[in-house]
Amino acid sequence: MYKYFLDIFPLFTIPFNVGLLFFICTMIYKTLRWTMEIEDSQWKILKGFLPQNIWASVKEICRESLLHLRIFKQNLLLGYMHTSLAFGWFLLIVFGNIEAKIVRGGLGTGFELPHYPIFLKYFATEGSHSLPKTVIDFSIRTGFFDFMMDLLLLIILSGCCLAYLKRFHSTTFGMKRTTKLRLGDKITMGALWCIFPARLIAESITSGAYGTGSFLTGTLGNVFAQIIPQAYLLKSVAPFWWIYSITLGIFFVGVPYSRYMHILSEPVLIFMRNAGVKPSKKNSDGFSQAEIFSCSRCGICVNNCQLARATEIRSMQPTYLNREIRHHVPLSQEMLRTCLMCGRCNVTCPVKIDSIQTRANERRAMWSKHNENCFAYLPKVLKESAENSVDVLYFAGCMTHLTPVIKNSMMKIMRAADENFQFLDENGTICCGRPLKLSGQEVEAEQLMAANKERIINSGAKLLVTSCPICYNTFKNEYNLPIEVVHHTEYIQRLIAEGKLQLTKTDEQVAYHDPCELARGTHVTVAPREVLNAIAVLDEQAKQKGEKTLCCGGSLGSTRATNEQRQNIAKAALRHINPDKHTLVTACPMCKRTFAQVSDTKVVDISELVAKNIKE
Amino acid sequence: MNQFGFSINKDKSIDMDKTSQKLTQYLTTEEPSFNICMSCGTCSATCSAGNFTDFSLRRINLLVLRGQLDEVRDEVNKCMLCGKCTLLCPRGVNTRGVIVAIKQYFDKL
Repeated sequence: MYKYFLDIFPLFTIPFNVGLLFFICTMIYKTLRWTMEIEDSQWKILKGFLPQNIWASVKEICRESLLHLRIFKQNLLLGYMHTSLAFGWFLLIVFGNIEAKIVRGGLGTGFELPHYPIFLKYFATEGSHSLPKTVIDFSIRTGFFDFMMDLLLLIILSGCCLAYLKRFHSTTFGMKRTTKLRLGDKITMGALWCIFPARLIAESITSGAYGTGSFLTGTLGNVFAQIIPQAYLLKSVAPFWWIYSITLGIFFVGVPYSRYMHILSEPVLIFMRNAGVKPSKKNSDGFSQAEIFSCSRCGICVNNCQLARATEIRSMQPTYLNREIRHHVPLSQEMLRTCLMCGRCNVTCPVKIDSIQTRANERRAMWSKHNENCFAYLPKVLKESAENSVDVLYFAGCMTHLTPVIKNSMMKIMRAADENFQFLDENGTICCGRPLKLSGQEVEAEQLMAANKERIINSGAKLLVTSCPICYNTFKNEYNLPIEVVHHTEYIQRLIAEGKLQLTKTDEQVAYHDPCELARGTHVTVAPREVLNAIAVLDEQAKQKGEKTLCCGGSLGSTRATNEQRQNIAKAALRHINPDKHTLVTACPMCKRTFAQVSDTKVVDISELVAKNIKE
Repeated sequence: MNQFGFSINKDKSIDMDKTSQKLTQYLTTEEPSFNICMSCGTCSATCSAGNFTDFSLRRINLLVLRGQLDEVRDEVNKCMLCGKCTLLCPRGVNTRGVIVAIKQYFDKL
């Protein structure tokens, strides 16, 4: 009886089985817990089971959890490393299971214990229900699978080698910076690094002892057989399977305590997202928790963070934020308040984690007291009479008042186009509320928003034009205004299209910088380029544009970055944006001011250039 | 009593028993750029909130240094955090950082 048990359950499989059991239990527990903690609506998760949503989830899981296509977009070698490990391992499991079925004699032989396919080479040769005289037969029947298994193992091992290389020479993978690791990460990573070499050696020794194996394990086995006497080789089979099993066990147990947790949580997160679950405003929310656990600490956000590249700040990037929240480490002021909130990390994250939202949630949690009536001093709005009502309302915004040339240009343009407009904040701007919101003081921000909203609605205008992308983003996405909101680039484009504005094209070469709030926040990238093409020659040499645009460094998101750090960011950004040193055109008063401080060439707003080239 | 149409100003002496240097010390560690301010008043001149009320960062700066924290507490809430002062400050003081740090100080009290 005991012997029979040992045949099915050799002692060396215990570490693997314990690890796997722990892994599966964690997966079930975490999935249930996150689902229970969804604040949006727990029943929404059921929507994920609708056929089209299931299909979307499966597709995305294949693309991102197995093939890692988004990492390929970052760097081919980095993508290959991840795919060879994840997809290679997945295929190894699939092929291993098919091969195990064949060895057992086809389908209908019942349920296979999970360790059977994993340690198949051992069972096929050493166990008592190995097929004694059929070793050769086994080789013939499964020759193809032996070959495939060896090939997959080789691919995974190449991925492992790249992983070792990356630890010591990350620039090869296009990564100037990678993440610093915790102890749990290091142990689990060590186990992961050993799994496949251990498998290679265990399989090779078994192959060498029994004369099986394909091109990789077979050849290596032959080499072993040449240099090690047969008796020793037979004795060393079991110890090496022990090592393989132990490394697997350590890895599985280590997963929930390390960055490899993303293997479990990423599919759950993708499923939740496709089910339409919306994140709440707290990080204790199930969806946010799934996001935080899905961070694989790959370091792509660190690599793309301008603070990490241009300054010495390398400890507050999303990967560390997610790590500290996950492990309940109190967040420092630096962690909370230094981030520029430019959003580049969100765009490049291979798991599409909304770290900006996560950080905003933490910033909100920074404040325990709220001031309900701190802006009582704002002027009361008088209802405009109907006959005074205008078509277009122009809102310059705080920053535009610091760069008066922009508002003067806009006045000139609107007069030239003969628009019926009103300058809303000619005598004093009420801030749009975004800076307060970004600092976590939502109650205070709401008061400013209410004041502005009242002013805008009372004007009776049908269109709101703003010059500042920060205000634009806020008016458009947070105010729920009953009228249309456009940025002045879109407005000028519209005036040109309607024929209200006649412009002369010059041969001046200009480079255009996409402001983050405009390109990433509101996806306006075409309008400014069309306008520029109508008046100048646009040089598209900028390496980082559109959604991946660089922050000028002036961002209102940070309340801790120093003046010097901001200037360093601006200088570094300029090298990418305007390599050929043309006139730099931007569409944000803050970008204009920040760049003007460090640029060798002229920095102008798009409206200045338009106003200059109006046909008289 | 005769009304002469003028009054005597309130006593402006600072009672050292009622003031506290704690906030100054807090700012020195949390936002060191606070200490390089030369009180030029550019921040107050450009202030968005200052357009509507008598809010002034320069005065807050002075009140903090004097330790008159009771007056700072409500005054600092009037700031809209728009950031014009940060862009204009000739000394490169991170003024928004100063405001948030002061607010955090009172929030944690």
